[in-house]
Amino acid sequence: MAAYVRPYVPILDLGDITTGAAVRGRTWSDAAAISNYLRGHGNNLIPMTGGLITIASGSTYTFRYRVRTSATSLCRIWAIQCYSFTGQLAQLEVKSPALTGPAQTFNMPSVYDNQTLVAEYVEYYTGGGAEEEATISVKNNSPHTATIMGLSLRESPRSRLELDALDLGVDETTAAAREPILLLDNNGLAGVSEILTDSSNGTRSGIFHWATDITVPFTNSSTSFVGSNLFDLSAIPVLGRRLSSATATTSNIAWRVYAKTSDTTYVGQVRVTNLHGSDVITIPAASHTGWAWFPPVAGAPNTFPIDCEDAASTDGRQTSGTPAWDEMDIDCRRTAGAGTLSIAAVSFFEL
Amino acid sequence: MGKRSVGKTFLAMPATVADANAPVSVGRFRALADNGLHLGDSCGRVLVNLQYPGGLLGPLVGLGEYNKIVSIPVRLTVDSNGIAYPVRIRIAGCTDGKAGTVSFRAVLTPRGVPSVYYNTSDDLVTETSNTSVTTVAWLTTTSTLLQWDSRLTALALSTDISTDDGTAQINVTTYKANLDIYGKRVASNAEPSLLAVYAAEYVGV
Repeated sequence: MAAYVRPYVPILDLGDITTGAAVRGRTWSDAAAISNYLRGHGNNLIPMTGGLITIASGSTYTFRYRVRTSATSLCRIWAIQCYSFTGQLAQLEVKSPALTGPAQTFNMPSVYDNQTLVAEYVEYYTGGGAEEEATISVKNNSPHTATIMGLSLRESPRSRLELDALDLGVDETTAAAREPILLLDNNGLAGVSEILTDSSNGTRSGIFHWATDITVPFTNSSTSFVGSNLFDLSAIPVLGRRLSSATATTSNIAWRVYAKTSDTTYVGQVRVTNLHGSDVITIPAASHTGWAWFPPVAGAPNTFPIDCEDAASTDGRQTSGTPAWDEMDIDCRRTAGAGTLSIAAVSFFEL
Repeated sequence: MGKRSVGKTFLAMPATVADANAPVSVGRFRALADNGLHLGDSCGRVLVNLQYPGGLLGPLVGLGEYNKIVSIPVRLTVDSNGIAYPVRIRIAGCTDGKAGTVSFRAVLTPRGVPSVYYNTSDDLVTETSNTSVTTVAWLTTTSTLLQWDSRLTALALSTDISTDDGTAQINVTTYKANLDIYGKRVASNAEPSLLAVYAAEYVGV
């Protein structure tokens, strides 16, 4: 027996669960279907992220991200939207993990063709059900420059889950009509409760990501946040899931930055500001020895509150007052010493 | 289309709520089931959250005409009624520095279905207000949601490569779409410069 993952979001009728009435096995079959969908439908690890990054002929760029994978994911797909500036044969070579994964080549259209290529690189990868790094390298094999317009990473849905402690698949037949409702692990009601008591099942995962190669990072040596925004548009929309209570207006997301400093004395800060305040990641002086994620991956990422969905809102945004967009502004500054801060990636994700 | 959860939140409960010899409480199991409905209601994904530094121009077209600047591939979540979750949309742009007025249009179309035939009155289309500024800003749109019906959702039916054991390739059902962003030269010589796009799913009211 196996637990099938439907291609749509299943539902059940809460009206079937009332006092004085027998709860049908069918109701728990529906709950098992919901559970299996939440476990196996696949997260969007990296929403389409842009950059208009130009790669010179013969060069290889590596992009790094911190993502929250699902424990049941066995396959994921990178989508790279790109074009070349030549009317001749233009080719990209893609690898994931970056530089070491199996190579796959894609022929790009020319910008003169008024179209782009969306290359899809399929990677058999077992998700860890937690935060981890995802990397991809793109080599320009064409004689002219190539431009990466956008890049995304999605987990492929599973068709079925195993009835084990990893997948937590729930066999729907164990909750069938006229069958005793079992309390075995991965079966029946116990299987359902294992999944529906864990809010990480159904996580939104990718919120906002940006990355570039370490040879062309964002750089800043200013001591002021003013004028030190990482992006042209210092307002990145965000909205999280409502998880804590029916009246909650915020939920937390996590983030890290990939950075280094140029000088042994340099100490810097990368700050994110939104409707609910600000959060700072410190880039210590020792980081000049090499690129690294901050805060260090040996510990937990930074977290901060963002608006969560409002169930009464037509578009999900909080409705108190004038519906407003919660937006992140990401900037940086030097707080001590001398030199330059270089940033090659920022990742915001839901755990 | 409508939300299913009654509590509209996630209730923290022990995973042992249904263990053997545990007393069966209707209220507790109702809460457990509602957790599932709420997690399903809120599992909508962020599809696009990007910026094009310096702005992205489309091909030059005549005054009053639309040009397709970019077509962004996305994968959609579909409800049990066979309709894709609505998509919350936002567009940032400006003129290319020349004097004039521009606007932008977003169309969420099933992959392979041309988006050029849809009108602003269609639920899968939204348009920004006209702008003549040269510095980028998020623009007001006629609608913050792009919505499909069951027919459009059916047209988006597709497959993705996957595996259930890490070795054997299988095809799984998915729903694929393109988010097409158009620019329009409204007045004078300015061309529309697209700088940012945001699109995220929401189960709706």
